[in-house]
Amino acid sequence: MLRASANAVQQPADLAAATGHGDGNVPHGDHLVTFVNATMAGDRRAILDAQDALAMAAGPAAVGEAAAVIGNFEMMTRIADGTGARFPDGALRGLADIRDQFGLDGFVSAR
Amino acid sequence: MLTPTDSIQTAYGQARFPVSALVLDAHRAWVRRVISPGSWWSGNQRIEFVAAVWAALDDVEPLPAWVAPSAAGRVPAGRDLPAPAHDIAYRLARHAATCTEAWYAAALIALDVEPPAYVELVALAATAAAVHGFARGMAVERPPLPDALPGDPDRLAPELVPATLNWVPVRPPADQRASVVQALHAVPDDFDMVWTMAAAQYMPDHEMVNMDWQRGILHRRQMELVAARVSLLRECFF
Repeated sequence: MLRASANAVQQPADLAAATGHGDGNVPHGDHLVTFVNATMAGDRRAILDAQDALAMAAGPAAVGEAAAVIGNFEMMTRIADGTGARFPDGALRGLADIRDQFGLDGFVSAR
Repeated sequence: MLTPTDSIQTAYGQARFPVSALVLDAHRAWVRRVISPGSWWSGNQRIEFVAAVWAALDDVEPLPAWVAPSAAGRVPAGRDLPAPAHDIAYRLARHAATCTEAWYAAALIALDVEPPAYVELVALAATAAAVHGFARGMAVERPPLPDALPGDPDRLAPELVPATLNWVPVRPPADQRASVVQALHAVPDDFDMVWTMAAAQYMPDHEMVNMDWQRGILHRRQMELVAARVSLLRECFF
């Protein structure tokens, strides 16, 4: 979805940002990744600092919007992994490059 | 007496940054849904399960995936939920990416329930994790849960069939929609709750095809970067 949505605006994303490095060629991507990292780690001081940096760069509403997306994917990952959600075979083949880049086939959750 | 509105105001009223009305409404509805009887679990049991999920997420000395909290003496006494439900709460909260089909089958046996009762617990764990993640990102407390509403579970399930794209059964015809969508078909009210929350926190289902979508400050590609980072940190293949 990151690749498709970035391609939609003719600004291809660097998917490596998903590993926590760089901005992914996404506006304020570095601040967004730092905010996710801090939130997932649960470090309150780091969260507050990341909130301030994101708000300064993208506007105060960006903090609430990004936190909501974090919450959403904390939800979707549990639904997928708790119910054994799989991709159809055709969709899996289309993701071969991403699976290789991030070593996804090594995850226990690879089904 | 605490109400769902009080609960959300108590928690999110402390935020340093604005919270959208959509998220406020969705999380208020979620609080109301949690404390209400479900299809297979009472309001008290649902509250206890959410509390167990949150306790697992707060655990500063987490158990490894292969150790159940009931086996480690970590399930409190005097509970409404059976111990295996606490084990499921912990696994889904802390180690969801390690769940396997064999674990799922064993969970059904340990709980002594049919699949829809397990699916209701997945929906609760997932939505509780959403509220936890949002509150942590906003650096506020999670909403306190009001007392349970009275009533018994209705024990109603729609017609279900086996699926190829999920372990759990789904409404027929199976595998015609995305597996993550059909996953919660067994519990229609919680299914609706999840997609109400997703519409508020991320985007409405009918907009998913719009790769140039933007509702507020963040463009779709910025939201997808956040989504990708969270999913990778959770080691979620899907």
